[in-house]
Amino acid sequence: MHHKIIAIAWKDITTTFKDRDAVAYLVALPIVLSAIVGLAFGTGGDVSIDPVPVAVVNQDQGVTLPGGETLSLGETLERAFVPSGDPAQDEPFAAIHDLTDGTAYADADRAREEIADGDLAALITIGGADFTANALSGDAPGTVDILYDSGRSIGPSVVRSIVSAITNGMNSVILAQRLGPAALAEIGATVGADEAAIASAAAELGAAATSIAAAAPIRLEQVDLQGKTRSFDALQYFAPSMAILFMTFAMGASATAIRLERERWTLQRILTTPTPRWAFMGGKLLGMYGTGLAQMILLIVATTLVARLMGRQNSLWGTDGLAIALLVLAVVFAATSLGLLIAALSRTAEQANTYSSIAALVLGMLGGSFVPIENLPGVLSWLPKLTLNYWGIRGFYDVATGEAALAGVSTHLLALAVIGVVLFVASLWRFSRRQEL
Amino acid sequence: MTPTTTPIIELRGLGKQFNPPDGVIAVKDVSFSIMQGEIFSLLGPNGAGKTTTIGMISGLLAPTAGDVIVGGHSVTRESLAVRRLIGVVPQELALYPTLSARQNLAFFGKMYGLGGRELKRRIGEVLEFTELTDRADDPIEQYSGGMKRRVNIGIGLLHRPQVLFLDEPTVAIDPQSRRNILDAVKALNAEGITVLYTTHYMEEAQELSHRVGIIDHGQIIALGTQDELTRTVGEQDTLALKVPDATPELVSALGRLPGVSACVRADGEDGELHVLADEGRRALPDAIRLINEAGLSLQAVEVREPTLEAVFLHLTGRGLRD
Repeated sequence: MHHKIIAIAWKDITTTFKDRDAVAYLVALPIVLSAIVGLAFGTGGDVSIDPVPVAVVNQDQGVTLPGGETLSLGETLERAFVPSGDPAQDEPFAAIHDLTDGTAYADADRAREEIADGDLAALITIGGADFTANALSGDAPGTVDILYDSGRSIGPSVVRSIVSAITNGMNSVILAQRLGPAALAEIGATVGADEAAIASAAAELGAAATSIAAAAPIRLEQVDLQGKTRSFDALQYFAPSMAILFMTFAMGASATAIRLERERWTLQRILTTPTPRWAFMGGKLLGMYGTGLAQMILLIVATTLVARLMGRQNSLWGTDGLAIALLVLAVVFAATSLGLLIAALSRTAEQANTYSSIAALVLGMLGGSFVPIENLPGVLSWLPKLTLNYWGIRGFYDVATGEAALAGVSTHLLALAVIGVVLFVASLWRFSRRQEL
Repeated sequence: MTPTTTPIIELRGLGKQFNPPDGVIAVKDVSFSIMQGEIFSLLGPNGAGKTTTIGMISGLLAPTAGDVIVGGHSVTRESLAVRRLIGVVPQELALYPTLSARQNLAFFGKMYGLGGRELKRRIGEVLEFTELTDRADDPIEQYSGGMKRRVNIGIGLLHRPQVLFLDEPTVAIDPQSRRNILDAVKALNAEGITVLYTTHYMEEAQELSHRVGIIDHGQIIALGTQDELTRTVGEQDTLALKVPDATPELVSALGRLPGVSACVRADGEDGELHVLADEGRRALPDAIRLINEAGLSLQAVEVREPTLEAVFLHLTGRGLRD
């Protein structure tokens, strides 16, 4: 009987891949869409979002230190966003300069207008000529205002987090500087040191603290920035998104084909041969699974090649072959079960076609195939987790970015297997209730 | 081939009701046997129950009453054994349109359990028999209606069945293709294949069959050889009158003439009316008078010997294609 099952499966797979329209739709289109997304967001994986345009109005005059040097915390903050042109000065801020496109503005009003027009994401105003003096003396807090357009999602939050990290760093250094000399004098008095020695030590401590104030906060933030915002790689996200989305379309087409077999009477004809119903169903299932598998493999190979042609250096789908293979098997299983359920729920090929389009689009939207879904509000937050798209995309993305190896995607694999089994059992139940295929 | 007296198919009180207990009864208590080597036609109008009967004999539909024995095997209990003996040619063109004739034959050949050289050889023979060798590798969707019909039949022959079921195989095809199919059926029967043929074309049943079963409203209303059946009509003749634009009133009035048992329109022939009369020649003057009174013209008259259609008319008062 296995010869017949294989013959039915092979007929379905070859029929699908011989159909030029189907190949264009199921393989070529997702490759093209992935390539477009790649081109739109950049393919290198270094910087995947446009630099955030930000204006800095720095009113701080700074203070003159006992050694004659000028210290301006405002200028330090300004340099974090606006490159000075001096490589030595700019180096600590290189990561922020990649992310942002900062310009020094003298006129805050003009900056406000540009924010309103959407040309700028945020305006940082470092308040008053006495910003550094106030901050160091503790007489009054130095204030940094951030003005932004809440309609922009990513830009202002990037700016806010950078400014907040820098000011936090400054605050801790300033506190150390304020408390340091006093503590030193107290210790000096206790041990009997002369005032000149204490003053000299305090000045050295102050200078050291100042240099730390310029560098330390930036280093602190670089880790965060690289870990979160900078490494979002659109192509690594959208290649599996498109592949899974179009595979769910392919499974819908297979569901339609099962209904078509009845409408064209080829199913009835098969059932007049010595071929039992279960063998027919087994063949169709194997054919669906084989079609999905072939489609995923083709898409993985093709998108990898396209990404290479577009100049990408690092691997698009990652290097953990076993994890990728298991994710492919699991995601195709879940999609096959989905196709089977659609066939079980439909009475005609037309109905199967409609149901499958709706299912593919809704699952694609909820599961993040079109846009990355991070947080849906309230009760809706668990919805994406019911979709095979969500687990498939996350699994492939985590493997591709190197954030997870096989062990790291075990939850994804389990979730896909559970979705597959639930849909499969539901379709068998439905078929048995209808007493027909 | 001369039929034997050994039954190869036996229908025993066969019945089918869809969606019982209130659904339509499509076939009711049908019993008859088909002998080995016979061409048996099931003749009846559309919706009479022919396809449902074939569906049950071939194991596609489960009977709600009775059973069918094919080659000694019960359809309800030994369905797979029955399917090995039969070849089914459905009324629908049950083909994969994007595949070629050869690929369709190969696929269904595998479903019949054929493989390897045997399958290849049988595909070659069937292509030759259906005269499709030259176009064997073209997709079916590029074939004419007649060619598709031939592939449809060819698939049913792949595994050399003992019995071939042909369900209305000449529907919607040109006269030449129809002629080819009728000749092919005779040729297959000459090779020893028993044929169960359903049709609503009286001429086909008359030309092909050793015996005919007439089915109407799911029941067999007459069964026998053509001679046996026409004898049931007695001495009645069929009066064929060509009256273009005949009105329903005229058809009805002709049917009420003395010595006339029924009058129907003949299907497919423009304006032809068939009047079943005890003595055709006697009824003719009255018929002509009625036609004249209706202001219509009688273009041709023919008195015919009893046919199967006359039998159906005699038994039901309706034409086969009403």
